[in-house]
Amino acid sequence: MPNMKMLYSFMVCLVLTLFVGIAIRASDKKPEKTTDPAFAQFLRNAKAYVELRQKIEKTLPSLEDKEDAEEIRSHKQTLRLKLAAARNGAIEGSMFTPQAAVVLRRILNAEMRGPEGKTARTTVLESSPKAFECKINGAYPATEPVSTVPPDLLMKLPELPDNLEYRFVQSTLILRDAKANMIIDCLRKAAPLPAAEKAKASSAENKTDQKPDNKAEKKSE
Amino acid sequence: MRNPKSLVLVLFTVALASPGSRLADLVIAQNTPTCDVQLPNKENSTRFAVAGDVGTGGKEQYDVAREMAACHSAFPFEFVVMPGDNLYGSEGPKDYRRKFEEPYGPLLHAGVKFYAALGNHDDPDQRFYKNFNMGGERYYAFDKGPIQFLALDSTYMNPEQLEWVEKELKGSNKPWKIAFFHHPLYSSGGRHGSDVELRKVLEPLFVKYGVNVGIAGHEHFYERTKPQKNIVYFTSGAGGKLRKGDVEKTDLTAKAFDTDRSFMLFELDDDTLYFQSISRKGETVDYGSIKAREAAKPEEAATPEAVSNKSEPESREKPGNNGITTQGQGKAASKDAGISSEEKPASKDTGNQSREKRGENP
Repeated sequence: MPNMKMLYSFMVCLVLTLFVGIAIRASDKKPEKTTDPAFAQFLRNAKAYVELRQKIEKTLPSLEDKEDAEEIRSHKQTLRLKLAAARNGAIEGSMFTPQAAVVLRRILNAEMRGPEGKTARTTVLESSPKAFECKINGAYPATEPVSTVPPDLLMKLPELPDNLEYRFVQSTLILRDAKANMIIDCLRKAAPLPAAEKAKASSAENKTDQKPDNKAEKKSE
Repeated sequence: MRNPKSLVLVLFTVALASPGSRLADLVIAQNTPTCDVQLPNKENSTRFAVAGDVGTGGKEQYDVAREMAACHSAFPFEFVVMPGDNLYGSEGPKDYRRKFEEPYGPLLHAGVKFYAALGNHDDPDQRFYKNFNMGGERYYAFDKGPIQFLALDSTYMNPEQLEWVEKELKGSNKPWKIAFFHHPLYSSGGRHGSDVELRKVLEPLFVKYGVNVGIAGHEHFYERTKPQKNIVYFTSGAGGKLRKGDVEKTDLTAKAFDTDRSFMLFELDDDTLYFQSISRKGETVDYGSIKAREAAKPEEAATPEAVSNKSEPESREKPGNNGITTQGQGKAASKDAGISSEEKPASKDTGNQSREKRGENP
């Protein structure tokens, strides 16, 4: 029965090929999202915060997509003040729990250290605003840009609920409410940005600042 | 006035400069922007403009806005695409007025719609502003004629947004797909350069689903890249800000302009997308056209597209990327003073570090 043997071998090969193909495809899809139990409390905190905001928002005139500038400002200011009042006494670490902080730092290290993390480091350093005081419940300064968060890194960090976002201010990871433009928490020395690179970026910044045509513009860049 | 000669001189000047006089006409003519539209400017075509990094509220932004309005008179574009940094600094009602509503007042009054993407200087609340037409979303899509537009938030490209991009592109049967976002995937900028991290996640989707053109800002100059994997990328980030001399000499550049502010006009007529980049002073700094890609259908292999760069000398014909041919017609060549391009290499040396930052393919 040589034909049966050949058919059997062929079937085994086919199944193996399919299996390997599916495995490769699955591994290609997305980097594994962290499900570390250390994030459980952090994510519960984030969810509770969003619920609080939604509750406050219900007391305000709703913001539609056809507003004028005055309505937008008024809504944002009121929302932030009410949120800050409701969160009175919130301190650093009230969202980023110590357990979450350990794992967050580990993820940032894994993504941003060494030669493989160079583009991620460059992206963060290059886009980060100059250091400013990270004040819980404070407004994110309107004059400062927001840092880019590398997409690969966002795939690894725990997914945040409605309009909460991670941003960097130099090596500090901040949790920002994009709707209220408010800083909710800060994790200092979170991103592994070596001092040498920081100095280099800072000197490059200063060097460009000295270009006569750009002087005035650099202030708000 | 004791000196009669002075009196005569004053009266003479007043008479000449009074409204309706020849001198007044001359003064007005010199200050009124003119626009030399070189697109086909055909009826029933899809027409739009692009201006990025605009929101300074400074004189230069107003100059560019006036020039755009002049172009609108000759080439009535329907809408303007803003690839981010729409308002620099504070964003109170006064700022919306001074940095957007006043400079673009004539266009807004003429019914021109603006579609904004968020830049790193923009508060996400801009999505609720009526004149930015963002539908209350940080990223959104809209169709105009045969074009699908995607406005992306490139400062925060999270998995949710990436899934949305794929879903939108996959679900669209439009023959043209244009994505606009703040951070350029390819750039020869000395200050920022290409956003390699963003490119890693967006480019595969663009290629897979047949995006034809990517439009970005962030770099405060104009650049058109040679087609990258059959996609032409424009950086139009000098609508208000300028980073003079920031374009470095790289193999990416098909054309660049970094000596003054600029904006762009686009026109889609049949299967050809025409583009024209115009300086604050009304000079055409780049001009050309892009042919529709035959393999714009999802999952199919990309085929080369034709890009004609009419700002290059007439006789020149040279191979572009992936066998793509650029063919010159020399229309704007006489006006390209100050243009940094492959013919006029920038003086800066591109070091290894910045090349790495750009993530160029050798």
